[in-house]
Amino acid sequence: MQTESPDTTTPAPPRRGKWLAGGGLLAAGVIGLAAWAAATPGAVSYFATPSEVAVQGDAAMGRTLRVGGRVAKLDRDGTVVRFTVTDGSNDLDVHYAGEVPDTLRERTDVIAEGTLAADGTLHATRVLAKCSSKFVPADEMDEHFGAG
Amino acid sequence: MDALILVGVLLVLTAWVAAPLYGRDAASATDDATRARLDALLGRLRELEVDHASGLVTDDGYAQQRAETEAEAARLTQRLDQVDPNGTD
Amino acid sequence: MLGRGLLFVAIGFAAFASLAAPASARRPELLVAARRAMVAAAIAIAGSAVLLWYALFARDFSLSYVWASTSRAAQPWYTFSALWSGMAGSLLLWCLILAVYAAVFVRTRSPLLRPFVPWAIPVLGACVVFFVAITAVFENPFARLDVVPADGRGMNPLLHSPGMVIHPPLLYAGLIGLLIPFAVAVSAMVTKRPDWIGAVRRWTLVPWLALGAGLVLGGSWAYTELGWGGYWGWDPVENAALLPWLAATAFVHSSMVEDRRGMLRVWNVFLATAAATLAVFGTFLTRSGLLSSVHAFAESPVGRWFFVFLGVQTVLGLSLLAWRWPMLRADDRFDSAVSKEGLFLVNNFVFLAAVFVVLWGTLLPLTSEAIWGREIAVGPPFFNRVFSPLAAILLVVAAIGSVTPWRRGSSRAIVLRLTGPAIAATVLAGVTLLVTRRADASGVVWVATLLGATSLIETVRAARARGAATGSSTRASVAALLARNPRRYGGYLVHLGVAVMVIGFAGSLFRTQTQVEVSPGGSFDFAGYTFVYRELQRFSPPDKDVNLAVVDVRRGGGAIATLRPQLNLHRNWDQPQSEIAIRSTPRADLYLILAGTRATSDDTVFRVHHNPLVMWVWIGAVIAVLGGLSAIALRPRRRREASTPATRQAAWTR
Repeated sequence: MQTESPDTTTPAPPRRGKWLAGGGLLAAGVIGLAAWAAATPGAVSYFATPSEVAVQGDAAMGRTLRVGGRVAKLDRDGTVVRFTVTDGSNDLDVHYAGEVPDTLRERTDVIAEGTLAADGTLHATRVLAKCSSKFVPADEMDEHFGAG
Repeated sequence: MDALILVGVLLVLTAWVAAPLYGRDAASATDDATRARLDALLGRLRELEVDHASGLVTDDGYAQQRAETEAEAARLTQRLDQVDPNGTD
Repeated sequence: MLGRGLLFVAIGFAAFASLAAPASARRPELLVAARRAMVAAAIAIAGSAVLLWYALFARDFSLSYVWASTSRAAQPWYTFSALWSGMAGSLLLWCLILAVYAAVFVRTRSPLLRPFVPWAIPVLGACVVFFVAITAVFENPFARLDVVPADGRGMNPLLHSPGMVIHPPLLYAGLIGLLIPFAVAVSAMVTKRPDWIGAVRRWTLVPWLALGAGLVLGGSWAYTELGWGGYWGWDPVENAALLPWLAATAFVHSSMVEDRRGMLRVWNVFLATAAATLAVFGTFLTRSGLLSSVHAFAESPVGRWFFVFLGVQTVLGLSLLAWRWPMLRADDRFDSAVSKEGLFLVNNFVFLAAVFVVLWGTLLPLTSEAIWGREIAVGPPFFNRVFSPLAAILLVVAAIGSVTPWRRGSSRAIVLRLTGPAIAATVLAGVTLLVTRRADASGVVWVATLLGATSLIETVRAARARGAATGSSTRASVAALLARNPRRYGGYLVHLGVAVMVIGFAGSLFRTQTQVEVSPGGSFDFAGYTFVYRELQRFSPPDKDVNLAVVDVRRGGGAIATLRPQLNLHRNWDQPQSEIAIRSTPRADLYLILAGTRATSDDTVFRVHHNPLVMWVWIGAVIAVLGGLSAIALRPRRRREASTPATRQAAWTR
């Protein structure tokens, strides 16, 4: 990072001090910027499995969460999609009225982001479905994913 | 069959790669680097002219940079003219 | 297995080259042999790739990769691009591009570059050995199936687009190409030759441009195929390609300072290392399954080997930097902070900050899980917020830099020079504020206009000065400027293109969308347009079931266009695939998606987006690419007289 050759007429320390101060200021500025950006609503969301949501119960009410698991039951009704996310031990109902990705199907992994409503349903604002990680045709899916 | 082709390819390529180890090779040119550097200096001088003409560089700055560039060019030109046998590579 | 065997052959040659080249100081013929060995490795890998292509075209379904990537019904272009549609094949493509790059590089005739070849070969050879070994050992594209299926599964229909044929090779050409400057930098450090920057200029610009174009193409594909209405989602895989590009852009700029004044040497070694490391890191992120993202490949044991490689690469770069620190002292000092050099230094810092924050945001989910056990996700709001101010600074610095001379500039002259562009920027930003009442959009417009206007005005000004001196027209002078100084004026063109793209980005602040369900014959209004749903066509060609909606778009009573979005179910793929209908005008895009149909009737759910100014993103990108191509391809014209002492002297006194 240094760009100056040693100068015999000026002592080195003040210049180096100026560099350090400048660098420190810059680093502080960047970190501050990152922290400010992280505080934006929707910037950072916390991930939970359906079991963790069940455990947290009322405490999770009203929070913005990302819940991940596998799609157990999918019901498209016009513009509204209802599905259940499961992690094997617990289920969570999700209610979503936005863009449905083409990749969303039963037995695929999904991450639903939204707020937990009073009735225990997640009102999702975003749904992210992963392309199947193993390229397996539909009839082999049971074998691959196992029961449930 | 596959193994045969593979061995064949391997032998051919190895022969080609090893050939120089049993032959001769010539050294490469050395003046070219100096010539290339001279060309770059010439280009820089032209750029300086344009900047000066459009007012981006002051008269003093122009004079100083031009003198420096020309001095280095003269030095390199001298080296080329002497045809230094040791080369600059 | 011939294909796999050829890969091992390549490993052997690359390893030989890596060992022979450094030893050529004593025996020069070893260097010729080493160069030939790199070419031999490239030939072997090319042979392997040709075999895979042959298998794809011949529909040899005994190979599991062929089964997974193509089918009897596939069209030729998509059979060709099937080579890189999956993990193993794309690794093979990576190896191919790497080997070809290395082979072309080691045979360079440039006298400036030749001294660096002996020690660049081990670096490139080691890369070839690593990547080919990963492919041959862990992700063999020639793996066989026990039972040969009758037909292939076929490619993911999302990849059935022309963009997907070009995008991966272009992206790889960019990422891999960044290894060349890194290898030369390593060579420069080892051989104690500090003059590597000028020699490696084109070898840096080409991958930088390819990577930039690849990023834009990727965004264009996401926009037209994925159906979420945007072109950049700050997805980890997207970020993985952006990070090396940011480092490379900083490097392209910073190297100009070293080339001219022998300064920022340490920065440049650092930036070349960073760009190459981030490029490998990017492919590591995508392949190791480390982050869940919509298009990450399957998890693979290669992850930990990549980690080792990255570690070695980073340690190598940094320790060489430390070892040769004294040699990297600048030739010169900063005369003044108000100078091009000073601004390029600021540039470096801001780019570094940008790399840091994007990297941090991309990796935060991982580190959070590892350290605190909390799983989190970082979304676009974070990246947009953190990146926008940095980008704004970069654009302003670029504008100021265009009017700042080398060594020492006068603040007064610079401010005067910028007044014109600043006025134009303020006017446009003011208009934007009045029309949209949004400060963020106005800010973006101000910054973009400043840069665009500066680039244009400076070019015209220089053309006029030249025109006055040589008596030619301004237009001819602009062309002449570009031909004689492609670096600077190609650069201005790139800046202009970027400014236009940023205006396009501003449009995304005003996106709107809606979702409706309509029966045939019905209509709905949105964004000032009326959409009339005429009919739904259902038909079934051999490979898919097609639902095609015919929708008329009207405005003010007159018909504007007819859009035909589709929702298709491919036989080989269980996920439905949309063909989005887009109507582009310079003002805005109308983006119509057939989101769903009913089984019992033709009632259809449509999603419509109104995306202002998107076209300018693509137009700006084309301008920028043209500028980049000019900077690379045009050689400054010089008089080709016989070079005698007399003519040389005459040239200087002209």
